Amino acid sequence: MTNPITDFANSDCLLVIGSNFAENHPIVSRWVLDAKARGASLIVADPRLTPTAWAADIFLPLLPGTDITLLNSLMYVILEEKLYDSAFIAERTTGIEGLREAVKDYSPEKAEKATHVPAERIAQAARAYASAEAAAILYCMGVTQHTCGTETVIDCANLAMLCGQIGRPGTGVNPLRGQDNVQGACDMGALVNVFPGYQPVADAEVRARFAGAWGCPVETLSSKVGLTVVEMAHAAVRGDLRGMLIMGENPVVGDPNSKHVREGLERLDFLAVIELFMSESAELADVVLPAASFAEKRGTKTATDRRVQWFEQAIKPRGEALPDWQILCELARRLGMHKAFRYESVEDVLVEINRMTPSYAGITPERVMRSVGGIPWPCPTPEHPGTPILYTERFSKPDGRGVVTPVKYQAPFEETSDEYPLVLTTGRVVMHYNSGAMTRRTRALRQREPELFLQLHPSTAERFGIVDGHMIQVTTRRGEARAKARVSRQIDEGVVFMPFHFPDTNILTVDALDPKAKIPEYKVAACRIAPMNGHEESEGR
Amino acid sequence: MTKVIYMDLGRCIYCRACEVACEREHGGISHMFVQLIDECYAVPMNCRHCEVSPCTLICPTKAVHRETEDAVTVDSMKCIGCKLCTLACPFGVIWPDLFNKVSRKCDLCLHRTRQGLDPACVATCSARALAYGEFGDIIASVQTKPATTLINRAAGKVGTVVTMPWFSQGPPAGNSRGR
Repeated sequence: MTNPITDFANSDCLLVIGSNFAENHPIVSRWVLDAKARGASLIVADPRLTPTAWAADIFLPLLPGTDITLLNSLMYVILEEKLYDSAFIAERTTGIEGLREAVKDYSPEKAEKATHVPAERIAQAARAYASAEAAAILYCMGVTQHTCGTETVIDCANLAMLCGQIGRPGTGVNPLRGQDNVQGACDMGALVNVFPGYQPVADAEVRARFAGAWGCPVETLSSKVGLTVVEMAHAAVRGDLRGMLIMGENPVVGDPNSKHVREGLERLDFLAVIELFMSESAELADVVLPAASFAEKRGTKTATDRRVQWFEQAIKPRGEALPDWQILCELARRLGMHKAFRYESVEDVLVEINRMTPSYAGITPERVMRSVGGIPWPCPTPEHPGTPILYTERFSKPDGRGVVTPVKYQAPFEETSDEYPLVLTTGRVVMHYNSGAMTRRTRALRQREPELFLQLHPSTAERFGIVDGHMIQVTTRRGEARAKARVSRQIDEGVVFMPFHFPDTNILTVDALDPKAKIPEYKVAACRIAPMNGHEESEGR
Repeated sequence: MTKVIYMDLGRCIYCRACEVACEREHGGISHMFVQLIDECYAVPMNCRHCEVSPCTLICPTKAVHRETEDAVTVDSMKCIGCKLCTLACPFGVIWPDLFNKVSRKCDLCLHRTRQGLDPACVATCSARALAYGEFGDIIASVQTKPATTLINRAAGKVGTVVTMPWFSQGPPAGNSRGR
């Protein structure tokens, strides 16, 4: 995120696209609603009338996969009505010339046909965003989990730059990242192409520096970009990948086209899983190593707004469980790599991070332990106060200018047909967390959301002979699943929604990837639905 | 000085964390019930601790009684499980504990509020839809909020469009969304 979460309260207009923060980041609601209480306008673009959209002043109910059309149409209106920030464009950006040409076919009237959002509302939203003193964009996986995810994110940045809505309080382009430390994991190089601090593995100088720090021969650090999660499953099915170590992931439930994923994991010569619970993926493992939970360990976490915070251990690990860093050090010791893993404590690890990751250089153990509310990176020196708002004066480009990169609508990988007439989109519900490995074990949460459901509009239900509360068979080109019908006016005709916290959903989803970010298109699949024989009631509600 | 739990209906996001927190504080039974109305209005319902409380009036054993100035509670040793209080409650927020055969209800988290802490539902509310405090203070803040919005809008500080609830526009062409 370019701005802190708390800074949403300073915004005069919040454009939320592809985020259902009320269910998935409930705490964010606090500051968004504070902004609204001051009189800010809230614009929400989502295929469903989610709890996030309930509070919207302008609701843009778009068809899944048409985000670029909507964003381009907003920019069409802004260019047409000259609502852009000419000074910002002139002083801080390049490439704006191509934008007018790229969005000329995206008039609100044309966009209405593609997105199903009324043209007048598109124009209203464009005016509200562009003319607000400070306007922020909040986005999440609704825009990223597409084969055109990268382009959609670029388009969010285009919109912000066009209107100069970045680099000041209450503005910015703010991806709401998921888990408490997913930002930290990326910062630490838990990606296929970079070392900590986004330093590329392909750079020989970087490799030499890390080899020196870790006390290992430079040739042991590969210069090759690795495989991402979905690519690993594909490689395992092909037999190109033979062994896997999985930490805190449950790909059998969480990854798309999950029958294929299960097949891949079953084909491996060796699978080890580091987990809190016996998840569906851990059940396939040769070895399961018990990991400590959040309350049983100490160290730092980096939140979605780049805020590095210290947390202390509350209780001792149960049974044989160990914190992840100790499990990794033990594995390294047994593999003869103990010299490179000479850490006695989490403080030792953080000291190395300070040395090797420039943006974390000033976030020392002593300092972060004492800080209230954490320190946002970049924080290059121990005296540096941290950087709550990015790009206040320049962008991270050699000339300091933001590059406007026009993009065009791309059709989803799978489109509806006579055989598969409905758009299936997937997401989350407030009661469950990711693959449900933890939350499906929690009574209070399971009672409130006990089983897989499919949300559909009353007329869709009527068309396919489906009764609320009865079981449905859902079929895509990849397989079939059972779910309970939840007839609802929160979703449009022709679109159905399933949460992915239960094992069956991802049997149905598409494993086509965004060519750049390699994120799978969880948000659009073509499906058909039919009532189950005998309308049998499932257990639970 | 009466302290109350106040709910700001415009802020409730139906996350139901208050229910789960209440369950944790009260042996697995929640006394908070978030209702979803018309699929887009969430209302956290809990005991209003009525000044003239039908539950205390109807209780034959005086098990349901006013424990403090603010809180109506159940003395489970006196409760005979007749469930009259659940019938009398105009809000339907008193539920029988079917295992112990007694009525259970919101006790305003007296074990917490006596230590100066907020009730568990309020402390856990991520959207700050729930607040706990002196009645007068809360009502004053409720009045301040729309006044602030009004003046900010009038001064052109925020919200350059007039707020237009999405549902006032009716179903658009090609979109059959009902409300």
